[in-house]
Amino acid sequence: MQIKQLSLTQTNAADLDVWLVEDHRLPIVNIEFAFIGGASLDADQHGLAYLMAAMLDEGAGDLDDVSFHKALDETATHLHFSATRDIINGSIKMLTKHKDRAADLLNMALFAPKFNDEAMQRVKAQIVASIRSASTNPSEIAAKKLMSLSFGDHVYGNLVKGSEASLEAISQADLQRSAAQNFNAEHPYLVIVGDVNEQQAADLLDRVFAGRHRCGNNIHAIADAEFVGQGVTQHQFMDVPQSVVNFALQSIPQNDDRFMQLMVLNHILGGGGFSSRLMEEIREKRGLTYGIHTSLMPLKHGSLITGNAATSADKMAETIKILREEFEKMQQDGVTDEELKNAKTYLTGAYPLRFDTGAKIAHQLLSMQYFDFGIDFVDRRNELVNQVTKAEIATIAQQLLDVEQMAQITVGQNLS
Amino acid sequence: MKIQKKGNGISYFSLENGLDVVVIEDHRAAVITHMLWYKVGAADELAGKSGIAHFLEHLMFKGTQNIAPGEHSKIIAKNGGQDNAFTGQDYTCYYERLAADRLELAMQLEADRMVNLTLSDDVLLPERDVVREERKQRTDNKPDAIHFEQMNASLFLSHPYAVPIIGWDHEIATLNRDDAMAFYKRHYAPDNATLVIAGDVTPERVLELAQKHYGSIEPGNIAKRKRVVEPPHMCPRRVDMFDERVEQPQWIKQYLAPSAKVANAELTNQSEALQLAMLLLAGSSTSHLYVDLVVEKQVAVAAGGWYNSVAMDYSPIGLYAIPREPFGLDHMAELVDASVAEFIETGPSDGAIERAKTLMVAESLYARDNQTTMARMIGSALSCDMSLDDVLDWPTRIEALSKQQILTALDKYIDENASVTGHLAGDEKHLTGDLEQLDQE
Repeated sequence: MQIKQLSLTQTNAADLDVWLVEDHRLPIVNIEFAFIGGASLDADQHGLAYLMAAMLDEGAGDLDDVSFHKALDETATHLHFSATRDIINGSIKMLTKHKDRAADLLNMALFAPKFNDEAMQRVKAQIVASIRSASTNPSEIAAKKLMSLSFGDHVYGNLVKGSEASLEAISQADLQRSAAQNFNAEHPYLVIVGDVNEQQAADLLDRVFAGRHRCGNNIHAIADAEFVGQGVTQHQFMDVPQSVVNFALQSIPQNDDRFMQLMVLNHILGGGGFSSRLMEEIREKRGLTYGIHTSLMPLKHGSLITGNAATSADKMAETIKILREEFEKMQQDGVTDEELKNAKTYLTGAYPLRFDTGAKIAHQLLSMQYFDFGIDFVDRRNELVNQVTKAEIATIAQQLLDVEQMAQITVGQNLS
Repeated sequence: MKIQKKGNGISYFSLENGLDVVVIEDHRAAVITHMLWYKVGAADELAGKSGIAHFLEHLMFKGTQNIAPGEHSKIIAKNGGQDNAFTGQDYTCYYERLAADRLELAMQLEADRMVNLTLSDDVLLPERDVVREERKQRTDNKPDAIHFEQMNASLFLSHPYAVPIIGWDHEIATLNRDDAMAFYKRHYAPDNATLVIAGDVTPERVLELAQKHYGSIEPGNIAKRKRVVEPPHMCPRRVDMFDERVEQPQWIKQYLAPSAKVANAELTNQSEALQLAMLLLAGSSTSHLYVDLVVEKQVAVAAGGWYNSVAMDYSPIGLYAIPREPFGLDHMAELVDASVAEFIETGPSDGAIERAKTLMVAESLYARDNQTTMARMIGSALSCDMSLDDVLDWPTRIEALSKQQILTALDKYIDENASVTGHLAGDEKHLTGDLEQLDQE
C-alpha cells in the first residue's frame, strides 16, 4: 500500500493535509475527513455541533431536504457526518462514475447547508427521541455520568447530544455559525482511497472545497480538561434486572511518547478480548459477566482509561472487587514476559486486519494524520510495538493504575 | 473435486464428505477470513431446550481432545488473529480473521472442534452463567427488546422462530452437558456445513488445505432439516407493553412473509420484488412512509421498515413509527396503514424505482470492498439452502423487476390477519397523545 501526500494549489484547499491511496481494482472512492472543533466548541449550547452535523444532509445548495437525499440515492452515494467532542468527522463513499456529482453534494453539505426551520425541528425531535430512549438505559446513563464525574464542568463533561432544553434553544443562526466555525477552520484532515489518480483526486477536492472561506484555528479556543473524578464512587438506583459499572482513570494523550506502552498495557489488562486479564478472571473463571472491557480515550484536551461491565446486582460487589484487585496487581507487578510476548504477536499480527477495505484504510490513515504520527507510521508502527519493554509497562502501570484515583459509577438495584 | 469458477474471484467446490466450500478471492491485502457455517440454529432445538444452539456456540470455545479450554481464541490471538462466532435461527457460524499465511492454522483448529469437543461441568456451568448475563444485557435490561421478543413469539403460531435465539431464561438455566453434546453430535458434521474463505488465497490452495484438514472427517449423514409450516393466520394480534422505564413510545407491526427461498419457489423473483418494495415503502429517508409521515404530515419522528429475506422459512415484513408529539401510538396504526395502502394503490414513480434499483445494485458492488461482508452474505444464504447463483445473480434480478411485480408482492403479504401490532409505552398518554395541545396551537 503506497500512501501519497498530495499538495494542493487551489486557494480553498491549500491548507489541506491530504493523503491518497490509489487502488483501481474496484470502481469505488472513499473519502474520510475531520475538522477540528466538534462539541468542544458548543460552549453553553450543548448539542449544537451534534445537531449541526445531523442537519448537513437535510437540504443544501439548491436542493431541499428530500431532494438532497434523492440526489444521494440517484448516485448511490453514502454520506455520513458525526460530531464528537473534538471533531466533526465525515465520510463519503461513491462510485467512480458519479464522483463529480458526489463531490458537489459534499461541497453543498459543508459550505451551503440550508438549515431550514422545518427540517431543524424534525431533526431536533429525532435527537430528543434518542435522548429519551437512552435516559432509561443503564449503560447509557452510566457512560454519560462517567464523563461528568471525570471532567466536571469542562465541556467534555457534557453530553455530545445535548439535552431537550439545550436543543430547544438552538436557532438556525446558531447552526450556520457552527458550520462556518467548523468547516472554515484551518487544517482539516483528509484521506482519499480508491479509484482516482493524483490529478483526479486534486480535481475532486477542488470541487469539495469550492467556496470555503478559510479562517483561524479552533484548537486554541478550548481549555485543557482537568480530571476531577479522583476516588469518586457513585451509585444511581434503577429498577433493572442487571446492573452496570463504568469506571475511569486519568490517562495520557496519544502524542505522549509512552502511549504505545499504554496501548500494550491496556491490551493485556482489559482491551484484548478473551486474552485480557479482566475477561479471564471475571468472565472465564467465574462467569460473572458477558463482557468486561477497558479502552483508551485520548481526547485533545484530556485523556482517560475507561472500562465497563454489566452483571446481576448480587454479583456486582464481587465483580468490582476483582476488577479493582486486577488494577492493583498490575500497578504493583506490571506484566509477565509471556503476556508481553503474546500481546506483541497479537498487536503486530492483527495490524493488517485494519486495512482490508477502502473505508477501513481511510479511517486508519485519518487517525494517523489527526494524531500527527507521520505518513510513514504504517511502516513504523509494528516496530514501535515491538520496542515496548516490560520495565516501561511497569513504570506506566505504576503511574496510572491507581485504583484509589478511580472514578466509578454503578447503575442498577441498590447494592448490599 | 472440480473447482467451479463463478466470476469476480468467486469459486466453489465440494469435498467428498459433503463439505461445501466457497472461495472469495481478494488479493488487495494479505488477510484472510475463515468462516465455517453449520446448517443448524435455534429453530432446530427440541422443545424445552431453547438456547442450546447458542449455548453450544459458546461451549465450542471450551476445548477439545487436543486444545485446552479457552485456548482456541488464545492461539488465534497469539498468531495475530481475531475469532468469534454467532448463532441465528437457521445457522451457527464460527470465524477467524488472520494474516493470509495463517489460513492453515484456522482450518486445523476449526476442523478439530468439528468432531473433538470435550466438555466438563467445570467449564460448562460458569459459561451458562455468562449466557444468562448475556441475555440480561441484550434483552431483559431493555424494554424494547423484551417487547420485540414478545411480539415475535405472537407472530408465529407453530413455527420455532417464535422462540428467541438466545433462549428463554428458565430453559437456559437447566441446559446441561448432555443437551450440549447431543445437539453437537446430531448437527455438527462436514455434510451439514459450508466453509467460506475470503481473502488473499487461491481456490487451488484452499482445496489443498481443506482436503488435508477437513477431508478426512467422516460425514454425519445428517437428515435434512424438517421444516414447520404455519397454519393460516385468521386474525390480527395486538401486543401492548407498559413499562415505566419507557420514556420514548414506539409503534411496531410485523406481517408474516416468506423467506427468499420460499417466496421464489412460489413465484420467480417474488422475494426480490418484496425487497425492492420495502426499500421504496420504508427503507430510507426518501421512502414513501418516511416522507409521508415524518417530512410531510409531521406526525412521526421516525418511520421505517425491514424485510430481511435470508432465512429458511419466514422473513417477517416489519414497519415501525415513533410518534411525534403531540401524537400518540393510537394514531400510528391508522396513519401507517393508510400510508401503506396509498403506496400500494398509487405505486412508486418510475424515478423512485430507478433510484432504489441503483442503490441496491451499488450495495452489491460496495460489498465487494469488504471480504467479511461478502463471506457473511454468501455463508448465510447457503446455510439457508439458497444457491451461490441466488446470491451472485441478485443484482440482475433486481434490475429486471417491474412496478407491477413490486406492488403485487407487497399487496399479497400486507395481510391484516397475518399481522401483529405492538405498542411500547410508559404511560396512558403515550397511547393517546395530547391532541388538545395541537388544538390550542
